[in-house]
Amino acid sequence: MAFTAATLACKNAGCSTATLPAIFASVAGEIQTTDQLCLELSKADGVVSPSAFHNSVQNTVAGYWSIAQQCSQPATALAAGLDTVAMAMLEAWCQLACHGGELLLVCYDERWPDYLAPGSGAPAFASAFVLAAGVVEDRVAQLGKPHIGTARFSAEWQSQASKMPILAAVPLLDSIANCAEKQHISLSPLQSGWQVTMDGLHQNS
Amino acid sequence: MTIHQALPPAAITAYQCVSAAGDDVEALYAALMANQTCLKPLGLFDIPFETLVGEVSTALPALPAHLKTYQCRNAQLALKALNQGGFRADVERAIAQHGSTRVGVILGTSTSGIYETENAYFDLQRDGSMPADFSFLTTHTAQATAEFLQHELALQGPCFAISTACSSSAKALGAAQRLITADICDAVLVAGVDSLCRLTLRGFYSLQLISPEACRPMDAERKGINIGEAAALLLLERPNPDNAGSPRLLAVGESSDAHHMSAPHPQGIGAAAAMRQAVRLAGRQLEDVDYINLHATASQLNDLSEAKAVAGLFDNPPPCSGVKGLLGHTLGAAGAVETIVSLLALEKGFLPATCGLQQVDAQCQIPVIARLDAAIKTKLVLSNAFGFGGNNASVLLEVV
Repeated sequence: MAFTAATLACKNAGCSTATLPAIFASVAGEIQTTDQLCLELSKADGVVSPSAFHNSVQNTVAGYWSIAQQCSQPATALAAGLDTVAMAMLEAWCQLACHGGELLLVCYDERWPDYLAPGSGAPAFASAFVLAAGVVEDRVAQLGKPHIGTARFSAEWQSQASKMPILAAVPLLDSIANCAEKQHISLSPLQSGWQVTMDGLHQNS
Repeated sequence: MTIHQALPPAAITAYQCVSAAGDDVEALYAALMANQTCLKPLGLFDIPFETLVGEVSTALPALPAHLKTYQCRNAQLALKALNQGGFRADVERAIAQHGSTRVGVILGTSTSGIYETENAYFDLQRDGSMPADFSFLTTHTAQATAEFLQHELALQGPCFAISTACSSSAKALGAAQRLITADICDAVLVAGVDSLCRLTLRGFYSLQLISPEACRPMDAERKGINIGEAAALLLLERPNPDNAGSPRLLAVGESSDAHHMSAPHPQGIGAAAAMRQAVRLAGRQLEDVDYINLHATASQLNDLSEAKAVAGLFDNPPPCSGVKGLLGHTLGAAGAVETIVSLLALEKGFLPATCGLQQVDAQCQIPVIARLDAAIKTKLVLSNAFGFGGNNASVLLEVV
């Protein structure tokens, strides 16, 4: 799922997947694999599979992505609870400010087992952005520095993103696809107020 | 957006560490001087095989009542480190100086509060449900202990975790330097925290990487790794006249092996790239590096890969050593713990020994120090941390 979003974003941006540094942001990482391992550990005769173990780390997707794309650029795995999308966007901004160039940002979560956080952790979702420092040709939107402000999600989206924080990327994706006006877009269901300013360049608007 | 070519350094104005060596950084320094292993049989829970671990066996503090949703061993270790020496006062001074919105917190952790999740799964197995007080987002997930520190210190800046297995907290240092460089923060608390749990012990055992005795990094007879736990805290600030005498984080080099999930590149290509990148980002030269604190887990493949990386990168490799025979491999905390070891070496003027090393593996053709060298001044030091997924980081430090 994260791979599909990442591959599509790179394809749409006309970028080589082998040369982009990457940030993989996720609230719960490889929670399905971790759940299976915890179930085994709770049994008297439980068995820990070596491959399940190394596939339980939060940077599993980052690791397989670098191997599959033969990409030796830095790959980071980041988590920030309800602020995951906001902090991922902030880390992306900082990487571009410090090093320039382009990078791949993927925000993803698989469905969490129901008993871990009842009422939360669904649906599974992945989104990916190719971001470049400064102003580039053929961009689909121009994003500013993530900052704390007064933009908030709609009540309905607030409820959705509180239950599945990775969905906090959806209002930004929606605005990139549909809006031309400059606007402040919330990146978090938390009252922390992290947001980004977007100048839309959508052709139809 | 102003793009910075050579990264400005960050001042490291305070650091503190709780580990198997003891409850504070003085205990860590004493253990480095004594060079006697701190590894012992595991006391926290039972495991079905023999090994030694770097366990924090002193009492851990309870979390304040209003933050008890964050209650887990990981957060307790972090709180214990925060309360050692003058570290909390140093953070409070930084908050007063810069404002709480300009102070961030970045955690590097591999398994966060999973020890408590494992305990909760015993309830799940027995009762069909998790315990009523189990709180997934404030104990299990990677950012939990970062949020705890944020609330405990009333910080209002950015707060997140980097979780890239054993390179986590080395990469957290890099992310912190970027937050300051990009003018998001004036100070960042970096915390490397990992705590003992069944998953990592039994997971590494399943990979046949656990040593039954105290590990022997870079030794011809090495038999694998020992797991440890620790909380290592570092306060990074924008350089100013007040902190002119503080050691500097010059850069963190990062790379991916693009080779294998749990085995390093055999020639250490990714490890070498991370070290080269750290030196390049800082605008320094490889020949100016005068000590390397190795990742050196004592696994067969990792040590060989790292030795080849150093031997291939440096024309004349500087003295190298690794401290996992003393403290165990503290996983996601290792980058921060060993950055502190390197800072002690820089500030106190010594080269740490490689505890457990008797005979350097003939295939590891680098100058590995077996014994403590107690009177060596160094100025520029690299500290390596490499993790699963071929995720590499190398931290470049300097004393001014």
